[in-house]
Amino acid sequence: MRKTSLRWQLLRTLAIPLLMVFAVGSGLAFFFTIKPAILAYDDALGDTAHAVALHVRFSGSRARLELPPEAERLLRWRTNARIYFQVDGLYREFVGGDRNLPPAPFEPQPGEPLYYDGVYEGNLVRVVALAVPHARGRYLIRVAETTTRRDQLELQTYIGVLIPALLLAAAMILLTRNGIARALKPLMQLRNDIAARSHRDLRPVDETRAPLELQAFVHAINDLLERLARATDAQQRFLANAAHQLRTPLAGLQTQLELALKLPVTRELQQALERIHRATERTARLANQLLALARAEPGGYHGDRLQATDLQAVIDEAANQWVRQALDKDIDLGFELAPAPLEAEPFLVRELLANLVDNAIAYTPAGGRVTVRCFSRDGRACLEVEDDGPGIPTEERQKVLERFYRLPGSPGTGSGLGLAIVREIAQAHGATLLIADAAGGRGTLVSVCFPPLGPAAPLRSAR
Amino acid sequence: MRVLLVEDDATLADGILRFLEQEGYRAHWAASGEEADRRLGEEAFDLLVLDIGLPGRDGFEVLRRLRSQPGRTLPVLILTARDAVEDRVRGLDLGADDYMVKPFALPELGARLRALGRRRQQEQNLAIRHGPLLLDTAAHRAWLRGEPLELTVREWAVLGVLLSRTGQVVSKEQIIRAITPLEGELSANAVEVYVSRLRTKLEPAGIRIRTVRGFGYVLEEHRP
Repeated sequence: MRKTSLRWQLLRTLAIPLLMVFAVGSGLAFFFTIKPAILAYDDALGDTAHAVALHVRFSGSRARLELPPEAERLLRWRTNARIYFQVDGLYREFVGGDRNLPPAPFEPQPGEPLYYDGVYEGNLVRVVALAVPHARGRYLIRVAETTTRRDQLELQTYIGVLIPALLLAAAMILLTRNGIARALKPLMQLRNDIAARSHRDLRPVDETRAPLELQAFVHAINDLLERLARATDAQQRFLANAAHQLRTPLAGLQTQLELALKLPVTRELQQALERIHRATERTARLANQLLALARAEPGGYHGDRLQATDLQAVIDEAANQWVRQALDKDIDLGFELAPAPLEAEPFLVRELLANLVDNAIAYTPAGGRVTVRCFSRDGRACLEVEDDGPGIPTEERQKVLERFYRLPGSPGTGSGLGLAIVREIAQAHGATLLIADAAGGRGTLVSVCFPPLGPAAPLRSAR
Repeated sequence: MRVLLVEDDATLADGILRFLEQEGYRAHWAASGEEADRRLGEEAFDLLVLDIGLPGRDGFEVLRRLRSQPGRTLPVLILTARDAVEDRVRGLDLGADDYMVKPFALPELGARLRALGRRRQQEQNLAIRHGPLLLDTAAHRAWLRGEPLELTVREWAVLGVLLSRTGQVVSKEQIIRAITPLEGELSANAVEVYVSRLRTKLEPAGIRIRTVRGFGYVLEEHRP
């Protein structure tokens, strides 16, 4: 489908008729300007014919021209043009002047000059034929003038009419264009407003700022946004409920398996039970992560949950969660905590932290070292989790943030959701997320820096 | 010890009950809030494991009713599918002693229940056992593998804090806070000294106090 530009369409529908109006207008202007000039020239030519008539004498019905040379010079005098004349007698015999002037298309009425165009000696000429009544008939006087002067006049008139018309047309098109641009400006602003939004921002567009003609349109967009927000909400609720509802049966499954593992059973059954147990743990973790993801996503949280908190307090409170895992794996878990005040949703920050530390512990070999840090730098609360595990290759660092992406060759326990959750939560708080090499060159350092305390928190504007 | 488990999911309840029996508790089951209320009114229990999402009267209501009666200091562990901050805060504000989110590992449930039981025993000045270690909190005397163990007052206090949270990390601040009322000012360095002395005394018997760098200590669960 061809794309139609509103700007083009407006310009076309306005400019083409405008240009036509100008063409007709300038045609008319030309006609009305040139007409009197032509009439004046014709009158002057007629006057010359009358003047010639004064010099015709008769002897009976025989005419003769008595024109002294001075008078003839005067008659023939024109600036930038040549004058020819011819006098024919009562019987149309040649009487005097130049010969063979273009004949009149028809016999002129006596006393009424007849004007017409013709060619004389290879030049275009304007001719007047004048039939002069005499007692015994009519004699004919023709005067011709080369059209040079008329052509010049015509050209000048033409230019004089056309140039202003062209300028006017150009000005008109320019003004129209600017007018259209100005009229379309609210539309462009609207477009920019919507284009600049994050996918989390489902706030209605400001209808009061839209021009009258666009209000219905903006209203429809807002309607759609509202429905979208509702659908997103419903999806979040579903996901949250599903994860929630999964927990109790999963807990039952896990509990029964843990009991079964203590029973005296065959080796094969023992191995099968262990595998089922591991799968159950993974499923449980996945349910938790889906729930976390649902909470971090648009519609899953609300700006009013933003609280003044401190990373140090959040870590303090959550530390217990990882100690067992770390000790089981003989990992040296350490904390370097300094006050790091921020505005955030504590639950989400805890979830972000949990995913980072879980990952670090899971991917660091036994006997390794994991350090959790928090501090405040330039007013920004920062969180770092560093390990001395295998690290993440530079080219994979973007990909590991994608959902369900897992590093090639990594052990089969992760869901590939952990870092995606971290990214979602970081985004929801407007925090920067960075994956780098650990200080020793071995291992991974993940750092999350939250925006400085202030009114510009994106979560707050999300609703 | 008598434990009342309030849980409406039969499979999960069956698993937990069997686990509790294996751990040496006498476990009883209530499948609804109303039943829990009735049993709590009629019988004496030492521990309550409480689910929140119950049909009818929910766990919060059971807890509220329990705590509104004078003298009901029964330790309560909430075991729930809800992990929202508000739910945790509400549960703890209503007087729960601990909070676990489903699904969970049975050993962790065991550890937390033991810690709760120990806290209760400490409060009631009863004897506490941790593997080869036996503490008579009333007489302030300790035995390791049956041999009398010499502990200073401060070592005793530090060990008491760690024992009340076995398997969980205890920060140096928590240790200082727990001891200060008895002993006056105590520095973080002093805590390190006491822990180091405790290690020297306990490690030969296989009782390990692990360090969590920059945070505190964990008295490991005893695994025979």
